[in-house]
Amino acid sequence: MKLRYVCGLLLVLSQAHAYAVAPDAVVVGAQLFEQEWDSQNPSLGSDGLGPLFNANSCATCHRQGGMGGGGEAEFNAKSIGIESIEIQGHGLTGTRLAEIVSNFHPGFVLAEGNIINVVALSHQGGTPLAREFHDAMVNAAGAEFADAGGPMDASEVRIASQTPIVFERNVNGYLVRIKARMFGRNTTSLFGSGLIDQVPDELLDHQVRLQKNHPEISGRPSTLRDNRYGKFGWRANVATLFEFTDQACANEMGLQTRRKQQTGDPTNKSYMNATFDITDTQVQSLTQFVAALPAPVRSVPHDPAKRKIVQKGEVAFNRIGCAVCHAQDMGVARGIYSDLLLHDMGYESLDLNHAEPYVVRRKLVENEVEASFPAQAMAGPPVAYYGPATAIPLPDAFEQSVSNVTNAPLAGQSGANQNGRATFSFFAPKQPQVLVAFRLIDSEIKPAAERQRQLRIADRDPITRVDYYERMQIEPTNFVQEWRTPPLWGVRDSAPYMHDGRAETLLEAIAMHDGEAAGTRDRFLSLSYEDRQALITFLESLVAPKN
Amino acid sequence: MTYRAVACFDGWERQCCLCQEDHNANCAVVTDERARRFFWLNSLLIAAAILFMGIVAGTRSFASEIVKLPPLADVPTENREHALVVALITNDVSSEWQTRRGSSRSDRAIPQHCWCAQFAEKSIANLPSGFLHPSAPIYFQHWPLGLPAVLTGGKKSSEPGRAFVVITDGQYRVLELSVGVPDGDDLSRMIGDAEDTRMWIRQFPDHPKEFVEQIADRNRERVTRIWRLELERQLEVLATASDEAEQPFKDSPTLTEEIVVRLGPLADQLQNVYLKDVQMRFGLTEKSDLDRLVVLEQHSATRMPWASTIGPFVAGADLRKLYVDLTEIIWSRSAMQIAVPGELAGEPDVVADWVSQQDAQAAFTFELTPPLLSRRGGAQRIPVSEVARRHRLGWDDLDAEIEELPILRVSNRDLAKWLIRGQRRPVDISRPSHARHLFFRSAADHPYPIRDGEAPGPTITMIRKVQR
Repeated sequence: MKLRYVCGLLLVLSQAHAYAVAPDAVVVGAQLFEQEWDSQNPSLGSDGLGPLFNANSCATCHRQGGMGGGGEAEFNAKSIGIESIEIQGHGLTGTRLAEIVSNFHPGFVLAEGNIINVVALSHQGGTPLAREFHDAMVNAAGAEFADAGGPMDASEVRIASQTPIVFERNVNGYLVRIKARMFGRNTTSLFGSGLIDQVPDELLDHQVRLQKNHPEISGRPSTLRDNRYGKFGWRANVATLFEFTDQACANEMGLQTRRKQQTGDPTNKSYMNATFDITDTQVQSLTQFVAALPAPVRSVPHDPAKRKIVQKGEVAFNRIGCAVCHAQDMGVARGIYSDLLLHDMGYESLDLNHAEPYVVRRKLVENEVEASFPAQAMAGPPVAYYGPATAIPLPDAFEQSVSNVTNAPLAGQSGANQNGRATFSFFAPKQPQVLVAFRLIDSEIKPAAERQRQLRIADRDPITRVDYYERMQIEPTNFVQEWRTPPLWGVRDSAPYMHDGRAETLLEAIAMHDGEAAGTRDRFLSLSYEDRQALITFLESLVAPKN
Repeated sequence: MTYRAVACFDGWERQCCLCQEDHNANCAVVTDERARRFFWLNSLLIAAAILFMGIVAGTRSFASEIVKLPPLADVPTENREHALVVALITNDVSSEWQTRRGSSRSDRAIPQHCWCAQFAEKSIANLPSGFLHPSAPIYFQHWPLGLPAVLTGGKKSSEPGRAFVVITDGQYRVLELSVGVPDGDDLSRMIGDAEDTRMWIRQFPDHPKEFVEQIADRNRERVTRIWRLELERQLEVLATASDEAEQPFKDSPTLTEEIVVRLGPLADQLQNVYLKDVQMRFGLTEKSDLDRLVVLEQHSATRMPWASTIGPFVAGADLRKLYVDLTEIIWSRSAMQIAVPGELAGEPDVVADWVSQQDAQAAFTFELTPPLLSRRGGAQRIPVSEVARRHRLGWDDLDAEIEELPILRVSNRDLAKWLIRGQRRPVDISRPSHARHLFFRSAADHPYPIRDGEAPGPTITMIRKVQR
């Protein structure tokens, strides 16, 4: 009853909605948001929560400033990313490489045998062996972790992300050296997400044009393979709130949806969930609840002197250029303080789940092929929740051809070292290395060929088929250090800051701005002490919505 | 624990309640109706006035009640026991060294030539009313320790403003320390902490280890793990040192001497941790980023963990003996000593006296004291090639040549005074690198700085030539 009342209030408070919000759906969504999921779901006959998960409810992490807010560092999602692999020894094959990498962590090797360079390290669940691997990684990161699974605080985030994890071992006669690091993702606040969902792509294009007037800034939209712009997530690699919610269910709680596989346990690869763990109606309800969460607000001090300081801080914020990226309004998302674009934030912000490559041109091309059957509709690689990883190229040609599932950059190479000993090396790329990619859109049998096909069907001769591809031209960007400008609305109630929560205070967060933002950061530091303090006071006036 | 506010507000509340009770008791003996009405009206007015005063006192600024004292001035004996001294130490140049083109307003706690005067005034004004109590006054002082132009090559320093605050008791014993300009909340917290520290020092007057541990216990909760580990390490070092000491520290001078001796290695170690900490917290990755750090240190949060860690180990020391080293540790720059009030006029001119005793045509040198951390880092001098050393043009050779000359160790203050009084040419003792010595061909000559960052060969040749 109380929950129903809260939801009713939410509906009143929410400014606008992307959906025709049904009050009942919001109430159900709110219940689902708080629901603590169990490891079995008898009503659906599925495995429910897990097998791997970060928390057993949405509300566990999204809680700062009220239900739906951000989360502290202890709720950070974490991953391990391989920066480099060096292997010495003869006769290395893809299978052997997979075995070697599995010794480090089996999660890098996908079920079909491909190897990627990032694995999500879920906080909870899995087999005892999976927990052993988890604990080994956590110990190697050298930081202190909370019971919830994430680092204790911002200082531990920094230690975890800067401590190299080195795996140096002789595996089956191969001298192996793998260098990796732990990366983290801070729980984002969901307040105002419904408004972000309504921001049209044209507004992002408009921001790109505006930023052409600022040579040091080069924001770009997150171009998804399907020609939409991403707006959600630290990498802006998810286009809609529904997809974001859908993916969060699968990735954070192991709740398999109709579209998204749950995170599998790499130590139990043969395991298959019987069916999905959460229905479409439930995902819709969750989305509607999140969309109905009100947007953060400005807290205007009653004291005129303090109000003046906030105003002074806002003037400084605009004057030094913060507002170029932290744009105050984006259509209906008024007071968002974000352009929803990706910006290069400098080397220190590196994370190997990279941003989507920047597609600057798309062209439809046809390709005639001889085939005895129509091309299968290709779904394309699944949208990666934290951003795509890089596929590690397999060491021999035969196995490499088998592995051709993604257009990820080839960053590995085989050769021989000075002693004549065969070597394999892989270095995680900082930029996309494939600058032209193709996406199959459609396929048809040529009308003339169709008749031929009918005539020759008995002979099983090849016939002509036309495949329609989208040719995507990619502009190289430092995609491992590109991040969506985080909305500053509600910033006071969402510490720690930056994508992995490495900044405990706003001052630290500002000082950490680098890359495109280095000039703005330096202008901030050139301000008088009072103006700097005023700017921080202004930011602290951006608070989570009341109740 | 803060005692000041509690004592003040409780007093008023109690007075108001008692007042009401007394009147009720007296009502029975007042028979005249008009008198009774008048009495009630009067009581109401008095009560309203007391209430109004109470409300106003709780919110208004106490800037007008701030007591200011010149740096290092004696705290009045009558309230020395309960007084606190808040010393704001900045890199402004003292008006003593400046040409007087207008005077600062005397009603300000922080003089106008302080770079952060406006903000510091606001912080003081925002202190809760109970903090400023007549029986336990807080004396605000501004210590401008920047080098005067005569020691910066005649140019005004372009370095960003620097500041730190030390709170002491009435005898200048260090109680609390913070780097940067404190805001109202910081200052309130510092004053509360200073009161606690004073209580612990009084509780364990003969056992500094005990009060150090008390302060450390409090500060431990405020810092991150790397600083907690460092705090533990330093406590162990102190415990070992205390075990080795035969006598416990019984008086402040002995304690101060011990702290001064320990300060170098302690500061050295903490500086390493601090640089690692800020590198991660502020994304400082290159040497040039240290310029950014100087600006960031204007915000008290930047060095807070450092201050919380060093705090227990300098508590109880006499700030008058410590402030130059402390300043130079925090700023990594030379600082200027300040004159003790009353002694300014009669300050002896040690340098002029010494120079006048030298042969007017003979060469001599002044030895300057480098900042504490530079003093400890022996590797500050630029390396000399093996060939130069073979040709007796190394640092050891230079030191040997200097030792042959009459030499006087001078403080920055003595040097500045001597240069100004003799209307001599300014010298930059810090840039482009620290000058360890000033060489004079004769008393009438201009000083020739011998810098750590310049190869010693040409200087050795010059000295030998002059000596021939």
